[in-house]
Amino acid sequence: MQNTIQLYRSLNDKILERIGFQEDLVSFYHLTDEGEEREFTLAEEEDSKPNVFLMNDKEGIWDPNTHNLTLRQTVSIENPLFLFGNSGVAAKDSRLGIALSWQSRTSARRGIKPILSFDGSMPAPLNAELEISFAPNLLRGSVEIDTVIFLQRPGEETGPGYATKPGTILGTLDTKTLFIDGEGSEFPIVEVEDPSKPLWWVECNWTDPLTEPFSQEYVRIYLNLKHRFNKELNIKKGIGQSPLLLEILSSSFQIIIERLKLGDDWTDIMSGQNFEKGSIGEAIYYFVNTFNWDVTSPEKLAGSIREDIYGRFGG
Amino acid sequence: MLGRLTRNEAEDVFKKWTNDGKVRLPRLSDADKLHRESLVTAESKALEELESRGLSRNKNYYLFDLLFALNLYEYLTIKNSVNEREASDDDFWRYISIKLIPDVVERRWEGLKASRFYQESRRIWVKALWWYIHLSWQGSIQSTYDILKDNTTDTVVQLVERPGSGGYRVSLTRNLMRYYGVIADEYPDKHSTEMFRKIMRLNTARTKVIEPALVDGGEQAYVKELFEYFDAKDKAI
Repeated sequence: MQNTIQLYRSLNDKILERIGFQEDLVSFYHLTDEGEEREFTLAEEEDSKPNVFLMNDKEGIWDPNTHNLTLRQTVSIENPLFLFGNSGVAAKDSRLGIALSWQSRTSARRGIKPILSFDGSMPAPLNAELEISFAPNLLRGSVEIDTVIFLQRPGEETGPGYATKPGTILGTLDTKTLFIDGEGSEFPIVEVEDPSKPLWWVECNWTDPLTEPFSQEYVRIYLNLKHRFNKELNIKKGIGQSPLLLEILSSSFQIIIERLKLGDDWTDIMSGQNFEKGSIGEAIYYFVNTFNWDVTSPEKLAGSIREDIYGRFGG
Repeated sequence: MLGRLTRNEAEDVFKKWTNDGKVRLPRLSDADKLHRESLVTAESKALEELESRGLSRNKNYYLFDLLFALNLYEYLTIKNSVNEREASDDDFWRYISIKLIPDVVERRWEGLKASRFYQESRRIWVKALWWYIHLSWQGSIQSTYDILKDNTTDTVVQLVERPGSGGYRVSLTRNLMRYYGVIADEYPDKHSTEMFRKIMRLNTARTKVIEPALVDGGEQAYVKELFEYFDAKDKAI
């Protein structure tokens, strides 16, 4: 992550193993329009990538434009003492802290939140309740949240290679990535307000689906909030409550797949070859194979996409 | 609040303009007409302010940019709640630049500069100005103006085009810009473009290992120390 050479001791795999960092499940909350806190679950759990979260509220209520986002997680360090002294990252009499450091290149923002501080006299295990909140309308794209150890106060006792400046990050215990929108298996949806345009349409802006990411820059479904049928979209209630939205999604996938079939890369995409991670090709390969879409003919495709989408979201 | 315009769409429009040698306003919806009106007023108010001080735009680009930027920020963010989620999306800015106020951008850049209209993410003029104000925000238009009034167009570049790894630390930049603004009043000879460049470079190097919010005394102490680092060096020489 960092490409500078560190001139002080920092967390390595050996120390990490010795201190025994453990974490419970992460839970997600937001404040509702009525000001009450509501916990929500994600539409899909990524078993293969335990620390990657696709932020699709199962009930479709949480909206990053209007709602805040709070994460909570209990973590513990079984043997914090191993962080101090000769085999650790700081002098015996120093004081360390745990903080949550977050970065979101796509929202052009980063920040840090200290959680607690401790020293070598702290009884083991050390438990910490991690909590961080993001304001509404802040995050876009993705955000990475690192649980880090930092030096809060250096000890009197100096030793070779110990960091001495308070605020120095001594290492990362854990990293989570949250995809807020337009990534993972979520569909890049853009809302527009233009009474002269149709209720929805799709744009395929890619030139190379094997390398270009499955993101708003290259594929877009537009929903027109100023169309006279906009109310029928029923967006606020969530996708499961909107047959119209399910139809738009199904048709959009079909359009994208038919468009890809016309290009030169379809064979590669269907054989799962030659595409880059996160590309349009990978996304479509994933959808088709995971959700059993039948791409052998347009009518079979239309039927199988709807079976899948209505099955997953239509309740 | 507003529409979006992709890079491809912007490019198509811009090509036509380049052939014609000038921008052309598109047909706008009623809602967009109102947005446009407010943003054009942001320009005319800035020009009036310059005029009242006996100044002109083409000799005072920075001051024009600052006044326009504050009006822009007031309209988008204070009145219409535009925040980082939208402001980090280039398509949002391309819509403003190409659809709503292409004539304003054209007048400022005296022609069709692709990078300032849509092409280069950090140079899209309206976007750079919004972030300049956002990263310097002191709580009100007036207090923000006060700390920024002595800067130059290069200050905008140095601040906005150095996001650091991962993104901007907004509370840090606000502290830093306040400190730099106060220097302009109290130690005007220390307030220079070169000084600011040095500070920003040092900050980039430091934040690779240190989190300013976690040092003793927090970001305020960190910023003070950044500026004093060069004082001490000057004395040593």
